[in-house]
Amino acid sequence: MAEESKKGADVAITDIYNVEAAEILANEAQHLPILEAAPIYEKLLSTFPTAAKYWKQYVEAYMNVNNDETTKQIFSRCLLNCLHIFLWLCYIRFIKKVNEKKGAEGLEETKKAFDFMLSYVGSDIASGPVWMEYITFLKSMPVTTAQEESHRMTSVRKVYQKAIITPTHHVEQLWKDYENFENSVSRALAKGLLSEYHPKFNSAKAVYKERKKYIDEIDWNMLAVPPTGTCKEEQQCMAWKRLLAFEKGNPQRIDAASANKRVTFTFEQSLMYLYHYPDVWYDYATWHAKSGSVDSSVKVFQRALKALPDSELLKYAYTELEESRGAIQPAKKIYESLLANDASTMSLAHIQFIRFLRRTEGIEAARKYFLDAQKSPTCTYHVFVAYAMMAFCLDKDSKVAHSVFEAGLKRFMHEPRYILEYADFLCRLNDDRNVRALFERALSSLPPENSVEIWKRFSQFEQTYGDLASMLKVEQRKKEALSRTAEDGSSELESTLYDVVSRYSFMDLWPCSSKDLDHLARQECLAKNINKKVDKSSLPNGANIVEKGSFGLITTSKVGPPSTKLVYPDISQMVVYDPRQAQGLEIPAVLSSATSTSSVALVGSGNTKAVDEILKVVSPALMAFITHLPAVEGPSPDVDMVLSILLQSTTPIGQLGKPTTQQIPAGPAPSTSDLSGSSKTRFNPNGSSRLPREGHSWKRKDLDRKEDDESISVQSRPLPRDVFRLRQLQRSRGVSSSQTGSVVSGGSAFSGEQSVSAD
Amino acid sequence: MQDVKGSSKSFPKHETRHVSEHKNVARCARFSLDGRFVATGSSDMSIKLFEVSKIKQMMLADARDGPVRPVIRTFYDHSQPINDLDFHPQGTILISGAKDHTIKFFDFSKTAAKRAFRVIQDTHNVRSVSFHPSGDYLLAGTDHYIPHLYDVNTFQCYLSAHVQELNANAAINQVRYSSTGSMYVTASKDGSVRVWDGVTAQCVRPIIGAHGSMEATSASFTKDQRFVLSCGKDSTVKLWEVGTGRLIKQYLGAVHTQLRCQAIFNETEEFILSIDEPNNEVVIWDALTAEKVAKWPSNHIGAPRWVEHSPFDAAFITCGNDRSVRFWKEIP
Repeated sequence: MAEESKKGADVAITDIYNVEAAEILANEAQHLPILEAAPIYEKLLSTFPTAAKYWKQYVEAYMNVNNDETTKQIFSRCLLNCLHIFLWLCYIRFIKKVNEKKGAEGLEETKKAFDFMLSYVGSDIASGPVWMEYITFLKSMPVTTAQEESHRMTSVRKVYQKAIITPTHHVEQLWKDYENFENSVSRALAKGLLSEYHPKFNSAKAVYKERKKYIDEIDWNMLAVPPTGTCKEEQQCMAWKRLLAFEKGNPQRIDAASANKRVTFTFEQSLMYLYHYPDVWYDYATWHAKSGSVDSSVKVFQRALKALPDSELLKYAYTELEESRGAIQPAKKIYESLLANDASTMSLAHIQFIRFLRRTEGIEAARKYFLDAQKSPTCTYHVFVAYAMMAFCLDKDSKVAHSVFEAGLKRFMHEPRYILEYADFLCRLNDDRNVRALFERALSSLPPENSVEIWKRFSQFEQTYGDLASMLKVEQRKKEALSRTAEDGSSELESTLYDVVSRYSFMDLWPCSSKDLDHLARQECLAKNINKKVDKSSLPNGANIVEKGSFGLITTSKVGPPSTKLVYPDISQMVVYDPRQAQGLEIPAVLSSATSTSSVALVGSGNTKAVDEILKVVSPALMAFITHLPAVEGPSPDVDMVLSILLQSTTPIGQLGKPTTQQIPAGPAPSTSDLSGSSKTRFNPNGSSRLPREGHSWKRKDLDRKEDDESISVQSRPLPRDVFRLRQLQRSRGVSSSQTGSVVSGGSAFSGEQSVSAD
Repeated sequence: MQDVKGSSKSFPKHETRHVSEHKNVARCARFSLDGRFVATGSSDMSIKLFEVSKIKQMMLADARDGPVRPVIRTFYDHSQPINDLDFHPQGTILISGAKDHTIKFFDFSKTAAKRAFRVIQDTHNVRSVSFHPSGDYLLAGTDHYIPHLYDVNTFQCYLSAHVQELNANAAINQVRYSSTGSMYVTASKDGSVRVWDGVTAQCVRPIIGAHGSMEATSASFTKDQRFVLSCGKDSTVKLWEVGTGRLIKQYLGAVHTQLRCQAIFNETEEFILSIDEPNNEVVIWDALTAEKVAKWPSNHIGAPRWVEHSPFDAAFITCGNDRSVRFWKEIP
């Protein structure tokens, strides 16, 4: 326990939103005396201010020790932000307890608390029991006079009528109670009232069914953490948004005020979980603004900024709202908070603030602020451009704009984008002499690698303003300047048809078809590579290249590797598997293919030589032994059968004793083969297992039946144990008929011929 | 991938057509990398190779220009049902893994060849085959719990040297290389999905119990190699992040408990296709929202065993116990 909590604390330091750590801490706090637990709760709740479950734990801890004062305080901190029914149930329990012994005054207090509670969470889907409790409470109010009695009855009726139009889990139960209630009061009146309310109840019931579907998707135990993009978070966010959309549609067709109240309630609830989602806050605020209560919208924004103090976006959205309703001072305050941010976002804040001042306080205020702002060392060229353009476009004052650009140029000569903006401005003035001068000044001071864009704009400018000679001249100069930066400069210098295309196109009109363009681009690309080594990978490759004649596995794969970077296995880090794959052990396979007259010969493969070599090495006795081994299907041979065959075989016994006794019983089936297995002693079972042709006698129907049952493999078919039958089998395969013959045929089959002597 | 919110896209309508029939259950299908060819393997031990353009022509023509035959080759060489197929990434080679413990190489550039020109004899039932993107290596997933890596040129077989710590002993249902060969993924009978390093053959990301204790029947990478899509007999289709082994998405609502069901991406990786066995339907989800966007009757008799999407076109193929092969393509 102690260790666990320590771990929780450790993690909490590194990542305050670590949910598991929070759970551990909360668990721990539950077992501590309240005085020790309180700081833990406070810390948790400062991270998760909308975590109703922690608030509930916290407040319950105080309720348990009957500290009413602190309990009240905590409730006042959390209730309005956490519209969670269980927390509120806790509250009503507390109120009831406190007011138990206070007589009439206490009852009045409790009634108020109920009203308060139901006005906040009365539309929760789980609020049914609260309504019932309230009604029971009202019914239990002591009455003395008849007037009081009728007053009580009226208030009970009112509550019932509210409860039965709220889509809660208990709406049907409440309706039955209400029927009983009315009938018990007055049968005559009941009929009229019930028939009036029945349709309303029906629609509440229908809406409840719909609403439940949306609410069931929501996980009420989640903690509000900043979005990290996990699947679960996304799902929950979407679930909330679906619920919100549902509530906004006013499915129950109730009056606007009540409907708005429900939407507000749903938004508030969703923000308990989506506390760190700026889009939800923004939706909430704009919804308020749209439904006419701008004040509530402002309040939402203020809460949003408390929740997400770093969200610039929300701040801008908020100022927009304030400004649009004419509240200049609050808007200004927000801008000031934006300007207090760090330098990286400062320029944008400056620009937006200058624009704001220009809109709200006029030219002079904007100018003053700009003069202040431009003194700051973090002020970038953007501010100059923004202010100059504002002066030019809004104030129609080209002189001020010009002087601002000119002042900025001293500072931002090295910024190509500033130069471009300035040039654009001068072009708008049709001041072509100054544009040229500006370009020349910039180009003489900027390094060529930064001046590409300027050159481009320069040549564009000449195309619009200049004559043919100046146009060509700039083009040529551009090439020269840029060729110094490019690696393969030589070809760039020459003017190509491509350049003509770029000079003679206008907007989206081209002097040639897109096909010509592709062609030109391709030509240019190829020409660029002319001097480079011909790179094979740039050749188009793919399935179109079919290497005919030679078998393509080796060749194609080497010639045309796909252009993407491939990763190859490093076989030196692996284990060679299965002796059969080693060269010499191809023998049994050859035998099998020879005897079954299939053409499964390794035509043209490189193995022939190796196998021949092995054949030379192997002693005749061993060879005879190999050829004697019976055909086995499946991974493991039938030991009895192998033994019986070997016992009958006529091969010289001298060297055979060992291999048989060693291999057959001990030799593991290939399916379980140890990986390090050295190859020498194990090829027999393997070899024999590769006589697949034996399975030919199977009927296809058989196959059908066993089709799905993958586990039924061949070995489950019992092999004949009868020695006679075995001999027949062997003879029919021709293995025992001539040992040497089969070996020879094996050798020849390997070299690709179809001479099968054994058959 | 996580950033995208909002409603699901809709999967375009497809037309479908019976294009060929095997003599027995059609068990598997595979498109070539360029989408020009598709092959199917069957319990009748044969492999049919289709040219996709001819299938399309056939779907267009409808007996106007006489019958079009989309099957350009049929290979008979295995002695037991075919389990899986793959195309060489560059050449005109088709390989097949079968219950007869062999992997066979077919060269379909030659019109007459019906038999394999090369055979790899494995020790186990070869359930799945996958070419390395270079075509120089191939992986075989077998009844053995470790994938077998073959050098295509020498036929040498290699195994991971690190299997001791693997703690596995279930057969492999599917093995698939990633697009660059840097990784491969296996789906096992014990319900686990494992991602292996393509260089060292070490298991780098074991997802044990990816499908509970039910068999994992398919697993494959997305093109960017960041995610693995797996499917299991627990009737779920799941998307895993390779980097973390996290479950990213689940695609629910299709029941597949009997067959080696496949879950696959469409060519744009916007949608996921799989099979609902009891209803005999092709089910399509939006890959991002995990919402079911379409359920189409498969038109097979009995649920299809296999569904495979073209890597290139808006087209896929299904085949099944009714022995038939159906081609599906977007209605233009």
